[in-house]
Amino acid sequence: MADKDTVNIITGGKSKATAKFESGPRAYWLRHSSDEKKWVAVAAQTHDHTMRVARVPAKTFYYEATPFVDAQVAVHSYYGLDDLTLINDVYNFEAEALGQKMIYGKDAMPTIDFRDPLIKKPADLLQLKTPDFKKDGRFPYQMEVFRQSIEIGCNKASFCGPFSLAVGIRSYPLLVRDMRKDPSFYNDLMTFLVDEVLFPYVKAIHDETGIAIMSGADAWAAFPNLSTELIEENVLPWNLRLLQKGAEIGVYAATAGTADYFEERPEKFDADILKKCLELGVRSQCAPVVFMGMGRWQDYPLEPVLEFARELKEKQDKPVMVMAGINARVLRDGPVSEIIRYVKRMIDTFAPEFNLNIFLASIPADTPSAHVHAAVQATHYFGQLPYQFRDEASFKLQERESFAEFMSKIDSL
Amino acid sequence: MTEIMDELKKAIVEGDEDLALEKLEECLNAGEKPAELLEKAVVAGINEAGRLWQENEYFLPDVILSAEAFKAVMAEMGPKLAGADVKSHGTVLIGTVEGDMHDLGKSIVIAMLSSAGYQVHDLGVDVPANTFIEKTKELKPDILGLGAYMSTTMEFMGDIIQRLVDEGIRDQVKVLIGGVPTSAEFAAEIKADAWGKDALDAVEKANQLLG
Repeated sequence: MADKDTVNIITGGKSKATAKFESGPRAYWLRHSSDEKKWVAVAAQTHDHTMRVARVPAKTFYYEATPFVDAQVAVHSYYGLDDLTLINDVYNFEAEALGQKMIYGKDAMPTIDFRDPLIKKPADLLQLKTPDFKKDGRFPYQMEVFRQSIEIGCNKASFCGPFSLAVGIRSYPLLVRDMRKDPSFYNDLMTFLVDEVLFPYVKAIHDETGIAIMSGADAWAAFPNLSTELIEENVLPWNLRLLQKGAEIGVYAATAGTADYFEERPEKFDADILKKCLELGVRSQCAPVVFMGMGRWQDYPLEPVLEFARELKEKQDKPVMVMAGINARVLRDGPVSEIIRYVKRMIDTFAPEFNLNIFLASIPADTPSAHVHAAVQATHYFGQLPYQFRDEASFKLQERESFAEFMSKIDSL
Repeated sequence: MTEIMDELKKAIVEGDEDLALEKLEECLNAGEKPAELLEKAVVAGINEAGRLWQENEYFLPDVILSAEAFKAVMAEMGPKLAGADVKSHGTVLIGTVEGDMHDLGKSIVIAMLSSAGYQVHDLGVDVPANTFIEKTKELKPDILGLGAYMSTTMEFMGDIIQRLVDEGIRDQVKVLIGGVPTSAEFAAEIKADAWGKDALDAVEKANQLLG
């Protein structure tokens, strides 16, 4: 894999845009987007927040590709994010098309009805068929999102990781019981999902759009939702099976987020478990990406991550990429000073030695815009490349206009 | 404690629901008293699972299976406990707010609260604000537990608390909130009485609220 591809895995790497836009957010994005790496890049999972900031109703945002992409590009532009991450309710599409019952709330993204799993008993698996990716569920919407992504230089698609998809149609308690008591059925289920759903989906995306880099979301396989032993035995082999099948058609379909360390109680932090999680993450993606996602990184010590990344660097000649998550609760709750310190700590720890990216992990809907601006501006200031230590007191946060004001002048910027 | 009671406890700790129900039946057939079974085997079992969780020996799958076994045994035992001298620490009315279908965390919270001696009424998931209000009026719980697992639905918690104020019953009930996107800061913002970071913390907070 090329180094650039390693970087693209999570950040939604840039590629040459395939369309020209005269005005609006897409034109702004293309005018301001650059391959030049002036600073540590910052990306974000923003869909809930975008919907709120851009005031797009959920019934439009999660069903119509053009308003979804427009709103996402506008909000990414407003905050000055470096990479487009056009992720929506990524855990739902495959399950929904298979027939899983969903709840369609008026102010929120669609959500799986976990009370009523599609596979209530093992025999139900036999009724399932590969979805039609051209017409089933909201696949037409999602395919159009991917197609429009390419037009603005974002050459990356997303899918639901095998284990998380299994949870979506079987429910977590039943699936855990299957793992323990009926491993044969668990294997049948995962084989079906990888061979008959996810690989055909990955292939359909590639055939329809030409996208060759795809990232699977897998929050259900984060730690401690599963122990590292369960992840290694019951999740990793299926991620690798999909990765292998994708490779056979020239697609990199890696599941990210598997084994993401997300211990809620800082007093239970365990450096050995964390390192094992990081190792499983690297193996799942088959790439030297050290992934710190949703966890309480504001509280955990970073030394074990640094040690792991250094060991990884020594073992190979490829550059190691560190993806440093900024916790969603900190982003929402603030204060701004804590957000700035948090970002600076990540940068001062990892930027001197590694290819660092900052990731604003799932920005909550009602996060104050000032908090997101603070995280982005702090990244761009403290993360100027080549890296040089900058004193916290030297950073001056620039006050920004409202989103509406930004949009009113977007064509003149 | 007898050997079968010990086996019942072990089945709950290990999350073996079928075995737990089998052992429960054996215990009852052997003449064990329901109240004693509850305390020494059933509650002791789920508490042991909680302890192992706290010590990083158990992870979510283990706790979920223990909670499911606990729930199944409690459903069987419920009618048999009528009239028994079972100490209650208080009542909790709990549910996941409207638009939100996640109930994994809530299931564990219910198991842990029940094991700690609370009588828990579960309203389920996707519960409209009106239902929370009406059931609060009807059941008069000591604690109203609200769960949300999406940042778009957690805002409904504030609306429910405001409805309690509007209905003049806010001071009759303590409000305890929880769920992945919530935080102590958010709990303070919406004027909840406490935030539980996880199921064990929820029990601690419930104890403090009713202290």
